[in-house]
Amino acid sequence: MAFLILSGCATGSFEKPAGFDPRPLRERAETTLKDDIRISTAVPTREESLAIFGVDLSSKGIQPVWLEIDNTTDERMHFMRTGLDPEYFAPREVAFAFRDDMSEESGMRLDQHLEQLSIGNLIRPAATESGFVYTYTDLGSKYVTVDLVGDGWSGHFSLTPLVPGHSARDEQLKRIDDAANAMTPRNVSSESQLRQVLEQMPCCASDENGVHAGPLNIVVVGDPSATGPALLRRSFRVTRASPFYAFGREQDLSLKKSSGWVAAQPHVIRAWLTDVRFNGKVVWIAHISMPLGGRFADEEETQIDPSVDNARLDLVQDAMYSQFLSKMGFVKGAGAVSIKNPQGTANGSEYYTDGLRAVLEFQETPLSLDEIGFFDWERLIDHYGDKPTGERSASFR
Amino acid sequence: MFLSRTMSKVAATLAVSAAVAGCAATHAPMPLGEVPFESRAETQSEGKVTVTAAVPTSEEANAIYGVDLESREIQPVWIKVKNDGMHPYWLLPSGLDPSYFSTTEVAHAFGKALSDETLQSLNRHFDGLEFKNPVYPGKTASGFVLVNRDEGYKALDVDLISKDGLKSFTFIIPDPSFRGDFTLVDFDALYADEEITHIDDLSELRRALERLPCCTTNEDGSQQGDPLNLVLVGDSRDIFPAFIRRNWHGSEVIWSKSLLRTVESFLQGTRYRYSPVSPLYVYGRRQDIAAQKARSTIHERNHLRLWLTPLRFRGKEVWVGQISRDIGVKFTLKSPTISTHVIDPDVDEARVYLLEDLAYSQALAVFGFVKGVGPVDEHSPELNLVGDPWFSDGFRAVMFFEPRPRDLSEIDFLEWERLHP
Repeated sequence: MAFLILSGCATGSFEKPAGFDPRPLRERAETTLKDDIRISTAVPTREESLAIFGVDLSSKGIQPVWLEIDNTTDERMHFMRTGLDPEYFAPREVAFAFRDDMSEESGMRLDQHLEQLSIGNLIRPAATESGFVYTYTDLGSKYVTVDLVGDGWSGHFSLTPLVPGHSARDEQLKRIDDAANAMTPRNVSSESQLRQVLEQMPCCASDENGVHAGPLNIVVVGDPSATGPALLRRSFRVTRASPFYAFGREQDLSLKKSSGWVAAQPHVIRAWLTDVRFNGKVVWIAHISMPLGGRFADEEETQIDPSVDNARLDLVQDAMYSQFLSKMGFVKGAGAVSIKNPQGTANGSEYYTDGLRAVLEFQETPLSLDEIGFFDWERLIDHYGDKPTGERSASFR
Repeated sequence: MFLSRTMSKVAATLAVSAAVAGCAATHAPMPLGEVPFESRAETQSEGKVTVTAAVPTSEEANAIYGVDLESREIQPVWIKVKNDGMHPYWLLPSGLDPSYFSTTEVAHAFGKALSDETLQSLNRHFDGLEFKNPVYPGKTASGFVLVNRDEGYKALDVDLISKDGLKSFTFIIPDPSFRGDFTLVDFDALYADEEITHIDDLSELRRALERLPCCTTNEDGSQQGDPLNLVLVGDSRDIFPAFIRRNWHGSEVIWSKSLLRTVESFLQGTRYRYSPVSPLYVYGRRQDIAAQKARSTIHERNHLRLWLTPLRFRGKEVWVGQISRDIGVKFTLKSPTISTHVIDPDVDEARVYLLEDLAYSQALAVFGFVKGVGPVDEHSPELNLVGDPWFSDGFRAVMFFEPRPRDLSEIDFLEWERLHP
């Protein structure tokens, strides 16, 4: 006990570091300009962070993100910190995590320091606001989403600033860049052409020996600035997943939902960039499945839940509720597999499916649930038809 | 150290007994028709679609499923859809709960440790109970969706899509077996008709909101606590589901079982969802509704308390409330729970957090600010009833809710008070 008190006293002071100079962050910031609003963002290194804040935020799992919002319009707007991170930390909350060891005076200095460095919510007309948002630490790339809400208007920006400690782009971004550089894009411009191209895509992913691993049951259409924020808002984050193969290479990107207070659905997405561009928009193809037993499975579970269509339709719904899905539909994919005669996979899993691919097209401006359009392609209903209940996969449940 | 070791021993014992009970119960689920939950069902129609919803109590759920779903924080919701239209409709379970469970997942939770045969039979049983899409024209479909458990009441968003468009229904269904804030208040009995003030004019509403009580008080009204920094205007069918969609949950009143669990979660930092919210008073009564949104640990959560006011704006309810952000826990003798949350003294921060959070709910239509408690300077803060300091610009956030859906670009500002010069 005495030891605790002593050690508490020993670290008990905070002195405000010398004035914060944003120039190094601004110089390497990623910047985007749209609707007469310029957004810049950067993530400080651990050393920079220590020098700026005077406390080690990373020791508490907190990642500060620097933002500069330059508003040249005459509109007043609200910056939505919850859009950037639904679980962001308030400045005094960050300070509280360090205050146990500090005197009251030091604690108050820290409160004020972190408050001064944080960015405000209100963005005034013809003004530049800058500062930090205190977010949860992400592995690898940081996807920074900036939602600005004006009077009957909203603006949406997404950026992926470099995260120091990763040599250049992180591993997955580099993989995507490499894949993009190795292919010659082919543009399709009509919906019927897109349907044809998507139906001709490889049916499935395999393991490294070419043994069947699962159907490619999702197609995502849209630029990263549209799809990134949509998936982020539904808590999808970059993750590490065991390698599956398609187009002769491992998946370019793996995604999984991060859990907040209730455990999130445990689906895993493995996605490959394709050479197809639909009216210039990037097209991805992906496999989505849920580990057998889902949130109640052992951590080392590698088998997948047999009803892969359920996993697919969970993602479809997430997309629908994301506010950024513009159009959806279904095309033929891997082909139907009946529940009575399931398809085996490389790791001993079995699955059944209606054989379709869900196609999700995202846009950069928000849409409510009743504004989503539909591709007039395969009708899900035709794939349920007269099948007896037991044999019908429970898609959309 | 001693305490935490004892706690984990208790937890281990509980887990074993739960497994045994689960095993015994798997053999005898009751036929659906013999479980009386449907008698509490509520029905709504829109055009040619009729939706009925009911929520079994945990005992009823146990009888229907033959396993103790509550032990895994899972709750079944029963939905019936009658489609008299021309096109098939699809129910979106993500609208009920973005983290809902698949039946195979839940069967696995209860059957994995048992035989393969039991797992298969659970799978079949749960599958038979599940709501099956689509709902064909001229047909009725019914069944359960398995979602994360709420205590007290369940706010349900039933979204049905078809080629023809979207139909949205909202239900708020109380749990008759729950002792929570929400179920304690008889809202219809709070005010006599002559006590209600009906307002149609917006500037008149502004003046009335400025005159609302400044702060919460203790029970006899002799001391003032946190500032009332929120006003919600709308139909409760539009307001409360918006909170649920953003993962806010109703909270238990303080009673022994829940108090024990709060102490446990304080010691272990676990995520018990329903730790009680201590009572504060406005209009001489404790909060009508308390809700909280927990984050990673019990030490980090946002609390809000709401009181129904005697004001009605264009026929809609007006609620006044208080929100604060908990940033840690301290021991106190001033609260019956012994531990209390330390709030962020910048209470305006929590107010803005809520505004942003609800902007994503697709139900917030208009917001603005009015004068409230008046400015309190950071350097000479006020103290709340448990001695925590707070300061504020003194305004209340006013939020108007409409039937959704409404996206971020459709939210309007009200030109009342401006937050910054």
